[in-house]
Amino acid sequence: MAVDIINRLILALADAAPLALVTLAIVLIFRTSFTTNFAQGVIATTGAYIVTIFYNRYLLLKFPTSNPFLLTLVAFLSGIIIGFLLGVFIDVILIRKSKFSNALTKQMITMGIVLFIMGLLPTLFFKAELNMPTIPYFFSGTFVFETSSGQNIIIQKNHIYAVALATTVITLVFLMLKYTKWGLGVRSTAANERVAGMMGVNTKFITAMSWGIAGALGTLGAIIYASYNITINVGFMTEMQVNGFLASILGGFSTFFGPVVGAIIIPILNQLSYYIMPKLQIGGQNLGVYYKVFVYLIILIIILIKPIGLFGKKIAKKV
Amino acid sequence: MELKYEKKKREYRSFTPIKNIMKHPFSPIVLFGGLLILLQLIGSTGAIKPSVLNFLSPVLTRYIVALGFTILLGYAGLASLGTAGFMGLGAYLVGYLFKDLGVAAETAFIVGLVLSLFLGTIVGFISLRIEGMYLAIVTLGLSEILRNFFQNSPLTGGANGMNLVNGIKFFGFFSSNSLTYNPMFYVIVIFMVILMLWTINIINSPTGRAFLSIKNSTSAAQAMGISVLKYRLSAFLLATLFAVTGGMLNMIRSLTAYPVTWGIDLSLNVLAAVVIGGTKNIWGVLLGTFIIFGLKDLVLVRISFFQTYKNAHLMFSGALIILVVMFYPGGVTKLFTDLKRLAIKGYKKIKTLWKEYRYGKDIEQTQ
Repeated sequence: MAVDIINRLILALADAAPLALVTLAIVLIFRTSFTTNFAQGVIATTGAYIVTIFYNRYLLLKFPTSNPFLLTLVAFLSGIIIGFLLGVFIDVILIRKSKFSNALTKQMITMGIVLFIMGLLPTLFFKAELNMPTIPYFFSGTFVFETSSGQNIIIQKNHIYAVALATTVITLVFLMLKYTKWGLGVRSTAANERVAGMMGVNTKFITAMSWGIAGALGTLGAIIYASYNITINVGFMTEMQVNGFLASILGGFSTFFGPVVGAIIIPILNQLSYYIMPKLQIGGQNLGVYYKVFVYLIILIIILIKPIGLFGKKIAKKV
Repeated sequence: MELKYEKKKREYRSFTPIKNIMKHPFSPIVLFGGLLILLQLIGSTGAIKPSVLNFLSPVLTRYIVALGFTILLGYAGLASLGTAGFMGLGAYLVGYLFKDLGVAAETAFIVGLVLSLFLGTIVGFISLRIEGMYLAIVTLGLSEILRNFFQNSPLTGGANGMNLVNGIKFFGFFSSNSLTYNPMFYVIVIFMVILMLWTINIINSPTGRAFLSIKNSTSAAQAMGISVLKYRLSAFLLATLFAVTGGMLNMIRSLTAYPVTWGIDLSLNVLAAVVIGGTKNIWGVLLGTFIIFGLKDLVLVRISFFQTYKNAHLMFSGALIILVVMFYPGGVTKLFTDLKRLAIKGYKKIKTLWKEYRYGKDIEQTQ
């Protein structure tokens, strides 16, 4: 029993790694651009597509004798750079240039981007083999700890690397938010864009950088998520993005750490529900299929009780 | 002099009833519905190919959905991503109640509406209590949950989909896949006309004006005593109602439902149709619906590029959304008024040019 719970917690933590990255990206854009970025998932998907295509179609064929670890690293980095550039492009070319800009039009532009990329990717990469490059030595294999009860605690190696990587990157972003000039700019823009502009903060640059970093974070999240043996298709990040949004609401959009905590809570709830729901029955029907509904309901109930989120601060609005 | 005036007045009066009727906002809607029914009546004798007529009904059901979205986006200023989820819910509900529980189609229709409105109330109330922007997020979550449900639940038939093999009888019309000309088209047109009339009524009522004032400034609307939550929720419920009706009619017409159909791309396509239509005018939205859903079936199917790449048409709608939102927020409606203005301008210019040619240039102007 206890071993089972530990195993489930480890799986939840592994799921939390990409989710936390995606959630942080969503919050970063929400705080600087004051809109919900629905294109987060497809930007990340584009990055993941670039990684796999670049690795399988180019790097493997051109440099068959080189170290696979190095090749994978090059592919990952190129994907992350593409994600960064895509984010900057969307902010600078599409959102900044739009004629009448408010939260709703920005939202609609990001929805248009979703539709566009959903059409573009299958057209560009028609019949591509989409397997995320895995590093043979580092990523495969499991650690097994034997316990006295006979059940084993199993940890997959790639989960350890994913969690370590995500933790490092998230810590880095938080340190940047706290100590760099960009971080100060983001925090002041989030507090009040106009006043920040008056005080000499280049809000346009800050916003563009935030979009770029969000794109890079999202791509990293997609890479980690895809390395859990998940086949890549156009919609493979949609669920992650939905969970990212829900985590942001759950933790509260008004802080940076709240959503990340929300992103850790949701996979735990998922595993909990996955554990409980198959044991319930209504009318002779097993409820195990609907374990996601249960999680969604719990989140809705939490939002109903605490609309600003678990860690949200109430912000008084001036008219 | 007096007599002449009286005569003119009498003449005018005798024409006014017809003129008034023609000027009434309802008349073009009824006329449009009548034309569609006439088209089907003539076509079903064999004059028009069934493929041409059959493409109309899915477009019209999506237009019903887009009408609800017009109220939500154009008037209340909210965006929802649960449209396709609600359509799918409607489709599966009516199918399940009719096929598995043996309920009459009309009862199934009403039960489906009530159940979906109940779900819409829960989701809408929780998300709109916080902020308008949260609606899109929570409905996106809902649509994912619903898609998951459609795919895995034994009630919906899973990935194999639901199929009403024996046909369905709805308000006296029988719909079956064995018929070349499906009479359910009449029901869809009648529903469309009723819902169009209702939409026009809502838009021009105090409710519609309250929606608009909330869209323009939430704080100002609140200061005027308008309950923001109440009106936003009612707009969302209207959109839900329309979406569910559209989904049910689609199910009754096409008799099949697959979980793949009700993905996020359908929600976004409905959004695209409304945005292209200018978000406020129901006729513009009709054109937008034809551009997004009609063009795909009529024109794009024949181009070989779109035949090989099945998803490429999404690119087209996505680019249209971005371009219209960025540069031309009025959409097709604005395009028409702009073209009209241009035509009037051109006509006046030609007229002056002709006069200058005929009578010589105006001296005062040249000085």
